[in-house]
Amino acid sequence: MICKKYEQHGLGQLNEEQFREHLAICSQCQALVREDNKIMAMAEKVNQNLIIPDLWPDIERALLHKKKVKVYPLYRNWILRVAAVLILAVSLTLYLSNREESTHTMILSQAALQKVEKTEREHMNAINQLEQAAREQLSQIDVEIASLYRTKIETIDAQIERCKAALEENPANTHIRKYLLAALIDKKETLNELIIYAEQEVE
Amino acid sequence: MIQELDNERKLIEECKKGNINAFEAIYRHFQQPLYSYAMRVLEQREDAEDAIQMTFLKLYRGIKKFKYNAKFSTYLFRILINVCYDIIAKRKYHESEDLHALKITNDQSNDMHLHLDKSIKNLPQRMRECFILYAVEGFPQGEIANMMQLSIGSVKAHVFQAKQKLRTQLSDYFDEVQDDM
Repeated sequence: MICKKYEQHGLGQLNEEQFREHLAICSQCQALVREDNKIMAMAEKVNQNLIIPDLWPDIERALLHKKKVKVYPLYRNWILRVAAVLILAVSLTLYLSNREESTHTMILSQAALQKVEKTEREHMNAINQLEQAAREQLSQIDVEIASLYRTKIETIDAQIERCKAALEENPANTHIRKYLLAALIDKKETLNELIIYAEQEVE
Repeated sequence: MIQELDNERKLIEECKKGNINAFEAIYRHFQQPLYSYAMRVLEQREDAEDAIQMTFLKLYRGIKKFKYNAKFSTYLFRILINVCYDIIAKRKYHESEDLHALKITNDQSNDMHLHLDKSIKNLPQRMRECFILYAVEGFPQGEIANMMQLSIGSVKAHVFQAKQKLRTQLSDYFDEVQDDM
């Protein structure tokens, strides 16, 4: 039968001072406390021969993979931009199917048209250079991410083609020029983003 | 007893920025108590290693939410404890191989530790966890209560009952071995 004071102390129902006073006069509690101390001393030393494997390389690999896969800001950004391109595409489609000619507000002057065409050419040149660099990078990044980028670029390319086709009939149309410019800028930014992402992967 | 992390706050802030070196510093500091706890609770080397890895993945994912309203060691061990519960819940019972991992030599003092390890293994799960955290890893009972989301009274009760059971299981051994402690 265990001393009640020992049990009360163990369960936190008797404070240290009260238990110390009791301990001074109870030989059973003294023996119990001695054995408890032995168990605690053994328990403290129980790890001394424990072989701890170095798990850090595996943990590091897993964390780095998680860091790489944590593309949801990239992915979220991508989703928003695809949405923007789709909105542009829908707007362009609605415009082309519903347009009423109002020449004086929608047609660019010759000078303005030349300026716009020059800007478009500059964007196209930049895009051509970026496309060459991006083509190499696509093979180096995660297959899933590469596929996302390809799909996005294809969507933008389709937008560009629709604009170009529409401009063959209306080369000086302001709205179509705006849509084309927006698509070209988006493609340039996407290619830049892809190259930067791929470079970070290689690092 | 686990030492406090040097520059703990700074290290945690680095972790929040995703600095992998900061996570490594945390791993190096806590690797022994984490592994020791996981091995004793899970009794399987592979599961213990998985548990540590999962713990750091969860830490990486959740560190931004850590608001210094508990000790970092409490936070870290709470993750580990929950990961261990998940592993136990998922697996079927396998024969324990922990003793092979722990045994090094045949000297008497090591037999004593081995005996204690066997006895700890036979404790009921909650009791075993509380005892390991208190007696082996040296956490105060208040912190254990936070880690395991128990009342401090429950932790005290588990530790008390663990000591009683171990005393019974080790009593023969105590009689045979001279007291050199």
